[in-house]
Amino acid sequence: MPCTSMERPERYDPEDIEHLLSERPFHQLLAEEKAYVLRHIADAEEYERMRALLLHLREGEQQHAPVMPDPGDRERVLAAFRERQQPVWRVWLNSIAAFIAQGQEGFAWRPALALAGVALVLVVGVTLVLRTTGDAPPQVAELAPPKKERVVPAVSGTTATEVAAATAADQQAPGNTELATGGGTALQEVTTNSLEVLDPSTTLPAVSAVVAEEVASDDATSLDVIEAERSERLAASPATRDAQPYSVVLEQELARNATTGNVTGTVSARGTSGRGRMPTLVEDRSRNVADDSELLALLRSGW
Amino acid sequence: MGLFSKDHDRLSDERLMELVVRGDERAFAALYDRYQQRLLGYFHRMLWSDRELARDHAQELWTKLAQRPGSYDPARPFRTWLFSVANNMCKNAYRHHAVVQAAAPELRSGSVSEDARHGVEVDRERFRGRLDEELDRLDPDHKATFVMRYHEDMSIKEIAAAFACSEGTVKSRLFYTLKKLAERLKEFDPNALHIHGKA
Repeated sequence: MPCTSMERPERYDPEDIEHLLSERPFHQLLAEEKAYVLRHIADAEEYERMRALLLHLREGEQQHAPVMPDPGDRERVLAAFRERQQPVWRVWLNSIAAFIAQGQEGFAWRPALALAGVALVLVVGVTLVLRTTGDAPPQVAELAPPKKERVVPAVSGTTATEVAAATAADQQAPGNTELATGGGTALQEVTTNSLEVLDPSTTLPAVSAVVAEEVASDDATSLDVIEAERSERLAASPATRDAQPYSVVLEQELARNATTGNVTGTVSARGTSGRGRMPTLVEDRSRNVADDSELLALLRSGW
Repeated sequence: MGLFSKDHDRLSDERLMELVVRGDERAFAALYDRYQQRLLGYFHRMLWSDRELARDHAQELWTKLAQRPGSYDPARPFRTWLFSVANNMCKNAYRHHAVVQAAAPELRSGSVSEDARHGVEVDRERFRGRLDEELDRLDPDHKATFVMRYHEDMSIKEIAAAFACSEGTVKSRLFYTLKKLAERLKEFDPNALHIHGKA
């Protein structure tokens, strides 16, 4: 059913009345507008009062002198903003303390606690770095075990350095035999012409014969007997009488030693009657290469 | 620098607040420049035309915003949110004022009339003084609605968002506030006021 404009119950709402108040005086309103206005406003006089007040408010507000802010207000507010925008590390420090002392954010000791935590972390970190890089602080004293002095009459020639040294010396003086005896250490070193006793059976055929003889005689000669003989020889030797006695290089020491040429050795098939043919180096304490001209001759001829 | 400043001036309030939350001081300064005057006017109108009180409240609001920009709700328009915060501050001031006035009623008189006495146009200032008095007698929500609408020139929609109420409620408040004020200020000649206002 079509309805007329007058039948519309709420064509205007109060804001529309405000619009009418702003636009037109009461006598300029349309009939339907007057009817609507008079449903909310008592009479035309009230309408005009409201209209005057509304216009005065709007015009008066434009003419109203604004409240001017204090010039320092802006700087103070921006300073407050800058203060809040503290560096990340400060936020992080505060977060440490806030984590430890939860719910007590207002305490003044928070920064101190955070700084103490950072200091601890720094100390631990520096210590770890120094340890890992090996730059440990210098020690006051170092207790080192005394060097075990031993004199091994040996034919040096198997280690790379000794071979090189011997070769160099030999080029200057072939067949040079150097006997060095230290005053207190009784170090005796015999350097032969790059003698290698790595495998007597293959490299030194002449020596192999000697070794065979030694092996044969080993059956009848025990280590104790050899040791006794050697002790006697050392005691009788005027060169070594005053010197510090040789230290005895035993089989176990030889086993620890990677080189086999440092001693004048013979290869003996120890325990040939036992577990097979495991060649074992046995120190020949009875024969010294430097003293044994026969052996030296053999070596020279073999070389 | 100038180029950046112009960029900030062109940005919307909400975009500026995003930058403020990230720590952009220039964005904060742009928002301050954009709304400080209006906030001062709002507080001045709402807080018994007391300029110092208005400055204090405006300063407090900006300081709060500087310290806690995350309190801004990005889902709301900044202007609406800002004035809703200001309105809440005014309500607190009203409560505080009510307590003070109950304890010493004579403290009320000075601040309102002081500004009014310094006007050149005496009638106009008298009217303004009376209007402020009548506004102060209103319910705080009605007063704030009236000030937002007729002094801050906010739309009905914005006011509704600031108060978290319907637009119909705002319209109703405005109409009856205007009607009530017109009735209470009928001692002033409306035509004279109108003519005076136009002059």
